[in-house]
Parts: sequence; C-alpha cells; structure tokens
Amino acid sequence: MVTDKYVKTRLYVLAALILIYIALPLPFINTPYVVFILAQMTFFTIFAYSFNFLFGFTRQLFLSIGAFAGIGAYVTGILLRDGIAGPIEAVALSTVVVAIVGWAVSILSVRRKLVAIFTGIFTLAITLVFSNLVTGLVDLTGGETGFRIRGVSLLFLDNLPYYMRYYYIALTTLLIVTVIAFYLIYYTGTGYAYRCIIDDELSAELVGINVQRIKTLTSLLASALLGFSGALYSLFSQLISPSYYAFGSIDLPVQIIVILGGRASLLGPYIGSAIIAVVNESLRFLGPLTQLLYGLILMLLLAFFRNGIVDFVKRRVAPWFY
Amino acid sequence: MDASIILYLLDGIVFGLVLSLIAAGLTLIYGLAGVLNLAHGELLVVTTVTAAVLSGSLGLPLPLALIAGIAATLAVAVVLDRVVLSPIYKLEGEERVLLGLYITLAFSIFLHGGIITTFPLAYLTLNMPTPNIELLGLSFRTAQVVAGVSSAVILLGIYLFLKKTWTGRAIRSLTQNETGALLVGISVKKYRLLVFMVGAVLVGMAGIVRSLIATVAPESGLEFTILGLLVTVVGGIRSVSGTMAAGLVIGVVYTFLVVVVGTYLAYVALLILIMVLLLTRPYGILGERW
Repeated sequence: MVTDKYVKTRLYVLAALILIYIALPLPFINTPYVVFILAQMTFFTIFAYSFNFLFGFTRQLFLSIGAFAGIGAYVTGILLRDGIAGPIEAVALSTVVVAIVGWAVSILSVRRKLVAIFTGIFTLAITLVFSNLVTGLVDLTGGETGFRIRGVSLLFLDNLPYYMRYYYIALTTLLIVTVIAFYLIYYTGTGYAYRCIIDDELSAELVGINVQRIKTLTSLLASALLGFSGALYSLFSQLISPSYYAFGSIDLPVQIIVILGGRASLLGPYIGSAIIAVVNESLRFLGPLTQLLYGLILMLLLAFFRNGIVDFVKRRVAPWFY
Repeated sequence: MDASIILYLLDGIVFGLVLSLIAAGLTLIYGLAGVLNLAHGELLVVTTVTAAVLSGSLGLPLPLALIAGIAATLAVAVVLDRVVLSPIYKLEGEERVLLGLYITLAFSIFLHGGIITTFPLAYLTLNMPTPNIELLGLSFRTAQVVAGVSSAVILLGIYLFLKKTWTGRAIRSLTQNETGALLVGISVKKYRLLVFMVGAVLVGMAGIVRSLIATVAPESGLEFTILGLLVTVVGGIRSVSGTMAAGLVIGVVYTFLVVVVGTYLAYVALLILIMVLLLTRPYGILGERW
C-alpha cells in the first residue's frame, strides 16, 4: 500500500468524483443534447483511460485507439445487423476479439524490442489497415457511408431517456475501471511496478519486475476495455461508419485529453475530457477552423504544459494545503 | 500485355521516386535533429497550394509561382525548426523523439486546418505542352518521363551533395556521431536548420513533380506524410540510400498491387508487408542500424 500524506485526499477525491458523475445529468433531464454531450464525454474518458494505461503507465505508444474501438464497433454492428447474435453476446465477442488483437500487438512489440516510436508507427499502420479495410469491403461494412443499427435493448435501463441510458452504462464501466485501477495502483504491488516502469524500464527489470508480463497484461486489459466501450459507443451513436473511428475523430482527442489531464494519472482523463467537452462546445461556432485551433492548443500544451493539470496541481497547489 | 507491364513499371518507378524525395527529407531530419517530422506531407501541400493560388487567382507566371511555393515551404520549415521545435531540443533520448513526434503532429494539424479552411480549392496540376511521345512502338506520357528524370536528377544531386561536399560530410558526421562532430567544430544548430531547409526543398520538389503526373489536393498532406514515413521506416530510418531504394520498391510494388487487387486492398497489402518488414528487419532493408 502506498502510504503518503495524500492517502485521505485521494479517497475523498475518488468519492466526490463518483457522486458528481452520478448526479451530473440529472439537472439536464429535459435537455437531451446536454446529456448526449455528457455521454460522449464519458465514452472519450474511457478511451483515454485505455490509452493512458497503454502509454502513460507502460510506455506502449498505441496509435490505434480509434481502430481498436472501431473493430469492437464493427464486430458488434455486423453481428446485430445480420441477426447472428444478441446484443450481449455481440458485445462480449467484440471485447474478446479486440483484447486478443491488442495482446498480440503488445507481445510482438515487446518480443521484438520495438521502442515506443516504432510501436507507434506499427500501430499507426494498423489504424490505416483498419480504415482501408472497412472502406474497401463495401459488401460487409457499407463502405464510406457505413450502416445503421437501431432499437437495441439495454434491459432495465430502457426506462431512462435514450442518451441517459448510454451515459449511465458508460459511467458504470468507467467507474468500475477507475476503482479497480485505484485499488491496483495504490494498494498492491502493481502500482510500484508501474511507477518503476515509468521511471526507468531497465532498472525495473533489474529489481525483478517482469516488465514484459506487465506490459502484455496491461495491453490485454486496456484493449478489452476498448473493445467493450467501442461496441457500446456504436450502439450509442447508432451509425457505424469509418469516419467515426478515424484517427482524427478518436485518437487525436484522446491524445489531447491525456496530455492535458496528465499522463499516468487516474484523475487526468476525467479532467482532460471535461475540459475538451466544454471547449469543443464553446468553439462549435468556428466550424472547420476548430482544427487549426486544436493544433495550436496542442502545440502550446506540449511546449509549456507537458505534464498536465494533475501534475501541476500536485506540484504547485497541493503544497499550500499540506 | 508486355507493353502495359512496361508502362506500369514506369508508373511505379516515377511514384517511387516521388516517395523517395519525400522520405529522403524525413530521413535527413530524423538523423540529424532526432525528430520524426509528421508535418512533412503538409510542407508538400504548402508548396503546391502556394503555387496554385499564385498562378491561379493572382495570375503569376508558373515558374515564378513554383519558386514562390518553394520559398514559402522554406519559410515554414525555418519556423518549424526555430520556433515550434525549440522546446524539444533541450530534451534527450526517447523523451525527445516522442515529444518531437507529438509537436510535429500538432503542427501538421494546425497547417492542415489553416490550409483547408483558407484555400479549399487550391488544386495544383501541371500540364506538359506535348502529351505523349512514341518510343519503340509504345506511347509514353511526356509528363511521366519528365517527372521521373527530374526526380532522379534531384535524388542524384542530394546523394552527391551528401557524399562530396564539405557541408554534406558535416551533416553525415553529425548523424553518425553528434559528440564527435561537435568536437571537431561542427555547429549542430546551424546544420539542423540547413537540414530542415534541404528537407523542405526536397518535399517541395516532390510536390511539383507529383503535380506533373497527378493532381495534388490541399487535403492530401497526411497521405504523403504516411507514405513517406512508411518508406523511411522500410529503408532504415537513418540511411538516405536505403530510403531511396525503399521508395522505388514501395512505389513499384504498390502500383502493381493497385492493378491486381484495386486501390483499398493494395494499400492494405502494402501496409501488411511494411508491418512484417518492421518486425523482421527493424534496421531497414539495407540493414543499417539506427
């Protein structure tokens, strides 16, 4: 167990986070658009969580977050569209498929000792293979325009308004993942292993941490999460098309969320995605110019604010209170 | 059938030479500055868009517009090296490579956003005065021959520049051993800027050559970056001659794959080939360490 002066604060923050996120959509019950934005934000927090575990904690630069979520989405979508399986089986299968893909990529890159940047190029190639395959195999995937799936029942959640169902199902996933991660990192040896790997992989290996096993297991779990959330995201958006899972639509926001919030932090993705959701909505009037602004913001962040908000608070704000 | 194979081969070689031009700059910049420049394809678009806008709506003569395009690309490259990338040169090792990757990605998104919104219709196509020449009973497109010859000449030029001139040797020595080069009095800062400018000229020329054989759209920057990146990786990320060879191989293989299986699946097959190469020969096809 990690015992430092922040133990209590951490638990309070976690409890406050859970309460705030459960209560968040209630004031907006009559404005579905806000709930839609909140649900989307939660999905992106999950994606960012996966990326954070892959890159933040174990230094595996996976530039295929969108492709992995997309594989989950297409597997679920095709199974449901053709009536091969029910929603639960379809989502479960997506989770398994993406977990295996992510695990295989991790095994290959660890075995071949690819440095982060090579893993990045390798996974970027996976992203391109995915987008070209789903655009090219028109008969199976509907090509550029994709296809629709509608009216999937979410059991007892069906009583809620449409977007709220998906908000709560995404939130449940996210909170379970957060609590498990919280426990692993602060109350078991895994947290120490992660911190060693972040600081110096070679030294971690030398003190007897099985870096290879930690990396491959982390990517197995993170990819499973991506497959699961990608499948849910497809049910949420009802339309499955290549552009929804393109590099620019998922990977890019996820990178910004993780950098802005803070790498290798459990709270970071929450803060990052909340800020991005607000900024995104308030800049909507700019239209296509948003991309230019995104680039500019990302450049400035990388140049002057590389360690993210969580790190900034820990370094600059926390000392006032302790 | 034989005749068309020769034509496809020529097609592939010309495409490969264009890729080599893009990738040579990427390799030089990575070798000397330790930055994998993800904004490289956008630099190409800067050249073509500037040339298209100046020659189209402002009515400048074409050669002048092309020179202005290259000049604009040079200016952007100088800004990239001196302003945008300045925070990363303080870092070392993997941190630097990663941050370089991210900052150039951000810069390319920035450029892309700016170009797409300001000049969405700035397509560049250069037409040759005589469309076809007959040789040995085959009809070759003049544009293709001109494009192939001019990119081969540029590549030969850059090869001789690196091998024979004092500046070229300085660049190679910095790539091989930075500390050693510093000890004999070679300024990293000066040559880094030079390499960025050489890369910008090369990629600008690639844009011009490409517009001889096809239309270069303002949104195609990312595509060129990725193709250049793949060529660079296959060729061995520090070896300029490996890059040139890899460009030719990829260009020819890709062209034939397109003929056989169609555009999308050809790209997929090419990517899978590259992924296999990345895993089996991480030092590039000519086997130089990086």
